Amino acid sequence: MNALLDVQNLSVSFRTESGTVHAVKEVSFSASKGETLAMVGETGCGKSVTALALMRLLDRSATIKGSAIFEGMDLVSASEKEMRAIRGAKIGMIFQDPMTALNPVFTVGDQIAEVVLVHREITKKAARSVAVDMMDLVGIPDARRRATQYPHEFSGGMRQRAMIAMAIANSPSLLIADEPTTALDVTVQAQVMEVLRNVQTAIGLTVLLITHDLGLVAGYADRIQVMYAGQLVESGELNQIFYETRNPYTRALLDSIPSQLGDHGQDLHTIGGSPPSLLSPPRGCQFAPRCRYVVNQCITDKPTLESVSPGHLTRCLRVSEIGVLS
Amino acid sequence: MEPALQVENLIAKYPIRTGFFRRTTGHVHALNGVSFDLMPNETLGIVGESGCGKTTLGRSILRLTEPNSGLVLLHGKNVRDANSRELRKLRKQMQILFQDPYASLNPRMPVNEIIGEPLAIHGVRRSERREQVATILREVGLLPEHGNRYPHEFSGGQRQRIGIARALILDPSVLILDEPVSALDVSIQAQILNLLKKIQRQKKISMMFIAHDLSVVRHVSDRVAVMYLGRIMEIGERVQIYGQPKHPYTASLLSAAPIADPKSERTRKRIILQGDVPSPANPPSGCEFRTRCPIAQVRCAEERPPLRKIDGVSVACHFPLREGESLLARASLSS
Amino acid sequence: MTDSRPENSEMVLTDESLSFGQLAFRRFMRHKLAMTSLVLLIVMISAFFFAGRLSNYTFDAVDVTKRLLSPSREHPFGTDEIGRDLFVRTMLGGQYSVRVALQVALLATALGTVLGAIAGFWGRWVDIAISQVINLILIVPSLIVLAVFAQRFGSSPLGLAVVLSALLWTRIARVVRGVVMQYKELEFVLAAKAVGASPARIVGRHILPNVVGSVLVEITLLLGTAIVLESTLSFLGLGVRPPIPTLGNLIQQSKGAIDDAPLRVLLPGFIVVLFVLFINFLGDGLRDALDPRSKRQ
Repeated sequence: MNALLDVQNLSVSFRTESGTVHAVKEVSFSASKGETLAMVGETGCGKSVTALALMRLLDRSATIKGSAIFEGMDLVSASEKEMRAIRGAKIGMIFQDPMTALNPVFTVGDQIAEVVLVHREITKKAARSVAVDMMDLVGIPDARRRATQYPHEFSGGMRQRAMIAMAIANSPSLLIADEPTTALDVTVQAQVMEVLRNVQTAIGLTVLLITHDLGLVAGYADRIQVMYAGQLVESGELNQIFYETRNPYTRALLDSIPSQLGDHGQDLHTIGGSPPSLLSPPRGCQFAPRCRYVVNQCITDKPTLESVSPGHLTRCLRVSEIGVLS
Repeated sequence: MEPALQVENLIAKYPIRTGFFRRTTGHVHALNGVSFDLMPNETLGIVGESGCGKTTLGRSILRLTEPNSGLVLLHGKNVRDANSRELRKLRKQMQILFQDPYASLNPRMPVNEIIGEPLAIHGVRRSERREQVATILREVGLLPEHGNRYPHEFSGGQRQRIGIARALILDPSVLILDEPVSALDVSIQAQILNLLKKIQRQKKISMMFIAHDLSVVRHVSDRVAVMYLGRIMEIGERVQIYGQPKHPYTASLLSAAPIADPKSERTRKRIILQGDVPSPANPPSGCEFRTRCPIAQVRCAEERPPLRKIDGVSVACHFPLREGESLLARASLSS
Repeated sequence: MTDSRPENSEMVLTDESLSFGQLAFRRFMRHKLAMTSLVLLIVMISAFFFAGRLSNYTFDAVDVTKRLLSPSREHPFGTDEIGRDLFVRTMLGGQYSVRVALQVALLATALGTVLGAIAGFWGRWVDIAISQVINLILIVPSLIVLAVFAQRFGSSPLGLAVVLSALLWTRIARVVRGVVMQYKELEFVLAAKAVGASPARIVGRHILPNVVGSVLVEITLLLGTAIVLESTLSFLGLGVRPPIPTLGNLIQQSKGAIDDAPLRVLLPGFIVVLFVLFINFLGDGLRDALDPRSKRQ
């Protein structure tokens, strides 16, 4: 298998005042070299927590179990020293809000150069030169001059590009993008995703794209994992998920999006109720209380991930009865 | 038919004060001359990106911030000239729903009081208030018992419902919605949009729906206005705006918006605008969009295009797209 | 399937509805250091006001035959140079010191809240004017100015309280101004305006209740500062003068005995230190309890 990243039974739980919150429950997936894997879901589904857990950026109240093999090393059990060598070098990460991810008191060029200096034995001058090259690569015009500017002199789209530059400066093999365009205007969003795609092709990057925006996913992902209440509920290729989904939550999610192509005037399909508590999860299927296809068995039994066709997995007790949902 | 709301040439400028003596060094041109009508029982969608002035527009119409000049008529009555007593009366007919379900409710007040406050301010007695609050809670899909709780006990979607209840309790004829679903998950968003639709049908309210999400606006609006840097660039019927945009910015916006359909996403050709949105403190001369417009010409820098009616749509462009013409086609011709 | 009704699974998590104040109170109770300090403070202040009664002596009963006695059952803290019982004097001194501190808190809070709210809410030149006054007062070396005013006006406890308030209201004003400015922009305030609320109602019902928390914390710190300033000035002879005892002037009177009976000198000072310590822990506990960040359920 050509897997760059192989995650098995990853679980993350947090100790809080009110009890233990199970944010991620036994999630397994793998990403192959060069592909764009999207993790989608709504607020609280655990997608961001998964990414932070892989990078080991969670605080001490978090307990991580399971394994995540990346280039021969298990990220879950690696030491902090080993992780530091990986972050920014082998795995890059970009976040939602570029303003808070960039330090306002250092120039953009210096910040990119720093990432290079931390991981490579080169001179400051050489590092700055790499920084300018990276800024060029991500399409920041007049890069040499702009490298001497501060983050507040950059617009939102430019800052996000700078962050991408920082994340890829050491030619990582994996890039984790956590809601990279949510805070951007739609026209700028298109620019930034274009940059990301160009960069991905240029250096053969694997991208783990975390987002709630299914439109973004439709345009850029190769494979999709749908998450709900800390679990993976469906996983498959782009067209399988969008056109041949076998999971009621995925279907309900797709249905509730107002489409630019669809019918005006009709009420939107909604999902009644709200997501389950992560403190005391329901006994059976997590989605049962809100599912259109629920039967008694769903309340008592926990469904497991099953394969419905090569590469297409879904978590639903009634998968064989209800077939393709469209 | 008389418009419910008429806005003419609304201008709002905020001075930028710097230095110890707070000298005015420039202005942020939030609204640069906005004009439109809102008809009874219609939903007008206002779309635009950051800095376009759509939020300022909503707040200026209600005089939550005071615009510098322009005319605002609510059912024919002058809103800007109203004194505080008249304004208070006018405010009964025009209400607003905010974006952030967490910041728009006072965390120290129970829900009953939050929703009942508008009534209290306008002199309704406590016993009557209680009844009206219970009624409206049911209308927005909550239970009367919820009235005794505090905002922090509710989810984002429920808080927006509370916000809607507060906006509706005075029975306004005009409702301004400032990004009402932007902070909500897609499935909750759908619930709220359905609720708003139901309310409009039942109460025959005119709605001004301000948002940046094009598919949401498309779903709820009858007519749509597209704003850029403080001005309306195009305004017309929904079908025309989305199907046959005349303004290059409208076309670019539609092209950039992601569609949750892989087949269309992968086959469509996108127009990717270069550069960033100019700062509202320093808008370009002539047409505000010319710095990023793929088909801009010399005239666009010299002369600001007025909003003109062409084929039932109003466009502010010297060289609007013609029937059946796409922006990509025109752009590749000129390059 | 269209549905705008929330299902019962959307019902609130807790059965009991707690207001913000009640939640804060609960959080405060969990802060052991603050709770202990509160209890000890109450014990201390009660002692100041009531423990003196346990003794047979009054604060001014002079008895030259009983000068400078060591602590005994009759005189738990001993006696001073002219035979007065030091326990009763110290307790009374504590009473007056605390009284001054509380009066300062009251006056400073009243003045500071009003001016801070006006500055924060109205902004523009009103804010500039009030802020410059605040800055001016803060720049001036406080002890020196206080000394001058205290000498002239501060010989009685109330007079001293007024003088100290004139300096310390600025702290409260700053905090109030900051919070008001922050809350003024929040959407629920705009919503109240949109509904027709008058500025008075907005400030009174919407903004000030949210200010209370921060002001409470500031008040506890103020009490600590006030008592230290009072003691300092009274020690220097510029504050409350005899025959009214305060912890400050008690130190001053005993200072000659520092070589023979150091405890006599240190004791009132030690009490001041304890008071300030407890008050600061209390303030910490309040601050943590009122922090909305920890309000996650």
